[in-house]
This record gives sequence, structure tokens and C-alpha cells, in this order.
Amino acid sequence: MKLNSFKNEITDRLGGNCADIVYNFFQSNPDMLESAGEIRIRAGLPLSVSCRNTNYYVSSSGLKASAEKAYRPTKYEINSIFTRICRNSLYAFKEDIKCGFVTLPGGHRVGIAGKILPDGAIYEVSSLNIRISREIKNCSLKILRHIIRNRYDVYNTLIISPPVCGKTTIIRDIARILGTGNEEPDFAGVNVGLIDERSEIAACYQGIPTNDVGLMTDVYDSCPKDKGILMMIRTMAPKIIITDEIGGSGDADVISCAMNAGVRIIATAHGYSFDDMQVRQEIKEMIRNGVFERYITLSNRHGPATIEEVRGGTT
Amino acid sequence: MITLKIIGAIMILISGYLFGKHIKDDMRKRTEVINYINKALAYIDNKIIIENAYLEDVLSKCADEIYKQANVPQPFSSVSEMIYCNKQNINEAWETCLTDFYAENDYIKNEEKEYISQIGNCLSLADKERQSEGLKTIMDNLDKIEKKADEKTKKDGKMAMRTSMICAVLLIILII
Repeated sequence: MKLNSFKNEITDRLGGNCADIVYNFFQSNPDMLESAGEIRIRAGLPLSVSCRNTNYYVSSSGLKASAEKAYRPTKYEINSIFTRICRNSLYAFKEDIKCGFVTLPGGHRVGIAGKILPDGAIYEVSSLNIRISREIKNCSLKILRHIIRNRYDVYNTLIISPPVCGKTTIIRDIARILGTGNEEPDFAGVNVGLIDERSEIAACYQGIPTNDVGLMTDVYDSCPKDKGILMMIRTMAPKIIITDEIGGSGDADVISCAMNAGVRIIATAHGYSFDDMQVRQEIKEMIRNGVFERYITLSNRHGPATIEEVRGGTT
Repeated sequence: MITLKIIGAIMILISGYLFGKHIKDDMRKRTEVINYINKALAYIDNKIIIENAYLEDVLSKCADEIYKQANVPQPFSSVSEMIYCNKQNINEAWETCLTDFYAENDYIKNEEKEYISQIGNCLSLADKERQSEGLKTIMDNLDKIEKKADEKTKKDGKMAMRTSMICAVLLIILII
């Protein structure tokens, strides 16, 4: 990610002291911006940035510092940032806030923590976690070799990965390649339906994807998976449906429905191994019914998206 | 000498007329400002409830559409600009813009200022229903103030004109 894009997509939206400090930090450490994963802003606690699984505290002058000397944002500052992230229109983000996150243009997800009201809405925000999203083209080529069946077809695949291992970046690139076509591995390019429940994959702005998700890809933005998959099958006739983080109640039924309609599914799930999936009711049911033909487990062992295991046939 | 006196008398009369008109115009402008703020609030309320649009867009459209043909001062476009540039949040931006708005339009009275100042708070709410209720309460109160101000304009406006003209005539008599 370039410093300019970082400024336009993240720090300009945050505003205030924290934005200036983080911008100065990456300006003086541009190489760290390439690998930056998260920016954590907590009330009364040190401002920190994580790069390659290492946490760095940042001083008010934008330099690496010890926890004692790091900049500590106030609660008022965090609430101001929160209001600005929501474009001063908290009402428009109410449902996202209830889910605990707001997505910035560019697909950067801002996790929110604080006092929770009985209806699930968060007010009096005390922590923000900005997860920096990045588009890495062709990062999924190694994985695609296990997913592509032939020039026109793919295997139903579940990508299993722990958090911060590049699941979303991988699935974005898979959508781009399958929806555009590719030479090696050879794929013709088909109609892809992308269900982007958290607006992270396509990072739609006013309904239009801001990330490249393929020339033949249709996107349902901020749409629940269960509704989105059915709507996509009925209206957009995709050959492949791609979605993130399955495992919620009702996911098994709706994915079976898609399979019955002859649509291929590529999905991701949180987990550290195939065995982890056996304890999750919805996914266990899908495994038992043979919904997926491939299970690809990723880790962060040799950098993001390291392939740990591929189950279900050889390629 | 007589010519000079006539010119002086005419000038006093014109000054008296202009002074009276200025007082009357201020009263009329005050009513207009309240009336247009009420129209703007109804517009904003509808846009938020129906379209769920972002506040910066709602405020900028409101300034364009409601105030398009009327030459009535308003704070909405500068607030929209301020929050669009992410300089301040809506509460702070509203307060900042109102300070300039009041300074430029000194005929706005404390009575309506109290309610106009609450608009920023109301727009910062996360709950659309509460926001709508808040805006409606402000509109009701401004409506009452507007009616009173309108009556006052009709009654006191004429009186201001007459009084200033009478004063001008008396001054002429005294001087001559």
C-alpha cells in the first residue's frame, strides 16, 4: 500500500491527533506500511501498530516508543474518530455498529469496542482496531491450482484459516481470477457471484466495487450470506459463488441449495485445522454431506497464506 | 438658503424612511430565517428517514434545494463542507458555523438561537427515531416562534416605519 492511498483511505477518514501520529509513523518507516496489519487505538492506552505479528507502540511524534512514552489517546478523541469514521451519520451505520465494525473505503475494517446497549448498539466507544486491507494481485495462484478442476470448472472449496492470515485478500484474488480468466493455471473466466457481507472483499462504495474482483463478478454488498446466496442464484445465474466466513446458523442449508442449483461454492471459515471444523455444527454437517470437495488450510508460518494442508483429492 | 433647507429636509425624510425600513426588514428577515430553517429541518428529516443518506450529502442537498431561489442566509452548506473535509464532527461543526451565522445575522434572537443550537446535537444521534422526534420538537418550537415573529413584524414593522417618519418630520420642523 502506498503512503498516499493510506492517507486517502485511512488517516484522512480518522482525522485528529491519532491520524497525524500514525501517518508520521509510516512516513518515517515506509517499509513497515507494506506489512502493516492493524492499528489499535484504545482510550488511555498506548497507540500501537502491528507489522508482521510484532506490535510497535508509537509516540506523539510518530516514532517507535516504549509503552510508557507512547501516545495515549483520550476517550473523547476516540469518540470523535468514531463519529468521523461513520461520516457523522451514525444512523446510517447503525446495523454495522451493532455487528461491531464499520468498513472504510478501500475495505479497511474498523472493529469497535465499548459500552454495549441492550439492543446490541455500541456507544461510548473505548477501542478501535483498524485492519488494513490490501489488494495483492496473483497472491492466490498457488491455492488456485488446488481449486481449478478444468478450464471451465472449479471444485467446491472451503479455505480454513486463522485470523490475520490473509483469508480475505486470498478470496478477493480468487474472485478476480475466476471472474476474469487466467493463463497459468488455465481458467476461462466465468460469471462469479460474490457475497460480501462485511464489505471487505470488494470494498463497495455506493454499490460499486473499489477493489478489482473480476470482469464477470457480481457483488452483493453488506448482504447476509443466507439471503445473498439465494438471491444470487435466482437473479444473476452465477457459475461460482464466493463468500467469506461461513459457519453461521442456516449456512449449511443455503449452501446445499446452491449446490442443488449446480453452482460451485468457494468459501472461507475461521479455524486452525480441518479438525477444528469438526466441532462447528454447521460446517460439520456440510463435511458429513460431502458439500466440499477440497479443504485448504492456511497459516501464517512462512508469511500470510502459507498452505498447510490440502484435503480431498490430488491435483 | 431655502433650497438648502429643502434638500436637508428631503435627506432627513429619506434617512427616516430608510431607518424605519431597516428595522422592518430585520423583523421580516428574522421570520424568513426561522421559516426556512423549519423547511430545511423537515427536508433533512425526510432524507434521513427515507433515504438513510449521509449527513454531509443531506446538508449540502438541503442548502441547494431549499435555499436555491431564496436569498436567505443559512448555516447548512458551511456545516456540510466542514464535516465533508473531516475537520470537525457534526456537533463541533454546527457550533462553529452558528457563531459566524449569528454574527452575520444579528437580528436572530436568543429565543430561536436556543432551538437552532440544539440541531447539531440532534443530528449527531445514532437512532433515527429519536433524531426525528428531536427535529420535530425543534420544528414545533420554531414554528411557534415564527408565528409570534410574523405577528410582531406586521404590527411593529408598520409602527417602526411610522415612528421613524414622524421623528424625521419633527426633526425637520425643529430645524426649520
